[in-house]
Amino acid sequence: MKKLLILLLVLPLMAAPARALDYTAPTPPPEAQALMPQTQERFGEGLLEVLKAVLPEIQPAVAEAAGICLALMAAALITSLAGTIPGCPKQAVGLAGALAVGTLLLRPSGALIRLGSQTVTEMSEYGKLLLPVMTAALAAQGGGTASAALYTGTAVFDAVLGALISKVTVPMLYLFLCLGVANSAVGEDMLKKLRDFLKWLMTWSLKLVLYIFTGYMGITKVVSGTADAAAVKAAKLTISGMVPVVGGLLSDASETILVSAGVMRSAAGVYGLLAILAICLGPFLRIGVQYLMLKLTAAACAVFGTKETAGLIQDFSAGMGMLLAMTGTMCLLLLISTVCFLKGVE
Amino acid sequence: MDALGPYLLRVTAAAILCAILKSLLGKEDTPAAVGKLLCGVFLAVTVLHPLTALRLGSLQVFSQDIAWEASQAVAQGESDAAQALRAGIKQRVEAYILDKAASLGAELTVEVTLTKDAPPAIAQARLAGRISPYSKARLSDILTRELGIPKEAQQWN
Repeated sequence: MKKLLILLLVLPLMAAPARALDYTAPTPPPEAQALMPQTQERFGEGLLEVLKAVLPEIQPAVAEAAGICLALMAAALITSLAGTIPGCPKQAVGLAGALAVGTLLLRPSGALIRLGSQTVTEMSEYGKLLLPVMTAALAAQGGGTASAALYTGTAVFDAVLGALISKVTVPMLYLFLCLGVANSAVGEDMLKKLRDFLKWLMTWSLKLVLYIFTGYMGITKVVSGTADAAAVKAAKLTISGMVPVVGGLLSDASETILVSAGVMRSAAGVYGLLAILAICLGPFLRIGVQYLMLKLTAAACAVFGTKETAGLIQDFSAGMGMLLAMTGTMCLLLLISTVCFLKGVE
Repeated sequence: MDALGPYLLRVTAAAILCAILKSLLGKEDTPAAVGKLLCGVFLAVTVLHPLTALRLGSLQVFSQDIAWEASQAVAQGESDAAQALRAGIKQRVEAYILDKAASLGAELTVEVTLTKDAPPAIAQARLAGRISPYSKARLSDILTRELGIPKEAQQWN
């Protein structure tokens, strides 16, 4: 009986993980925290909850964008009607149209650019907090080489992209919109080439960063993943051969640590993915709504408005498209990085 | 970003000025063509002026510390795992010895010390409690044979 009692006391000790590894993803900023789902274990369900929480917040943005678009259509219609009045100079009509569209769109577009820029900064800051947690969790699971390479790659590209967006593309976007207004005001497409060049440069630079980043991540995975897997196997064999009879039992201890670290890494990674999406989705959808509304308005104005007015609205919609690309690129960079950390050592 | 507002204002003002000038100059004569050319040059200079202030040194965006930070994060994870592994091995070995002692009818307390190597090996086992000489000899033999703990590394109290 006494032996049985001792055995009952000893057995849980042998089965329990030695010491729980604790890796918790950082909490997102308060606005995003409010959108975080109750269930954070499953990514799919969590994503649906985040979407459900974000959608009601988008409704005021839809109403605001619709109001602006109606005002734009009215301005385009008035400008078009003014152009039909005999004796009314075409240049003056074009200038008035550009000023009207510019006045109606510069303020909301400026607010959205600031929102996009702030979202990029928030995502970047969150990424900087999440990165060491994921790196340590992956390293604890035996992925030392891969985690160091992933950390370095993500940190460098995050810094490059953050600086590119804040110091180059956002000022360029303001300039792009300004050139659009100026081109429309001047007429005769004097600044069209310069404006198109800026658009090309912004799109190309964002694409280039993302292409290089995904390439780097792919190479890192292939190169360091194999080395880490071999190291983990070698460590297990060493532990197993270290003790004559019960080496396998001790090797199980190492397996328990790996599983425990894997569970923690997975939980932290899924939380991190949801947090990144919670930071990004709201602003992304708000900018997206404005983008789509402006596209629609430009199409409608092309029917009854002047060429310059419709073109200018089209430029603003292209500007919102580029803002979407900036926000989306930073979000994608962090998502890809976190997924790479989640993939771990095979 | 602070300099952006005045810059945009300058570009917009230049564009409006050009538009007004062009509308005043008319359309299809020589002064109009010259005016258009001058307006174009003026606008291009206004737009491209900030390029003269661009310094490539300011585009250095990532610090030298990134590699050091990466190694710190990796070291933290590896240290956590090593500590957890040490605790796991210690716990399992002690549980194994207690189980064997119980099967021999002994009531013991066991404390195992591990080496500082990675992965750690068993350095010493301290055993205390009531145990018969026969069981002690049997258990000592088990510790040597099954756990690789030599007799000299076994401390009996």
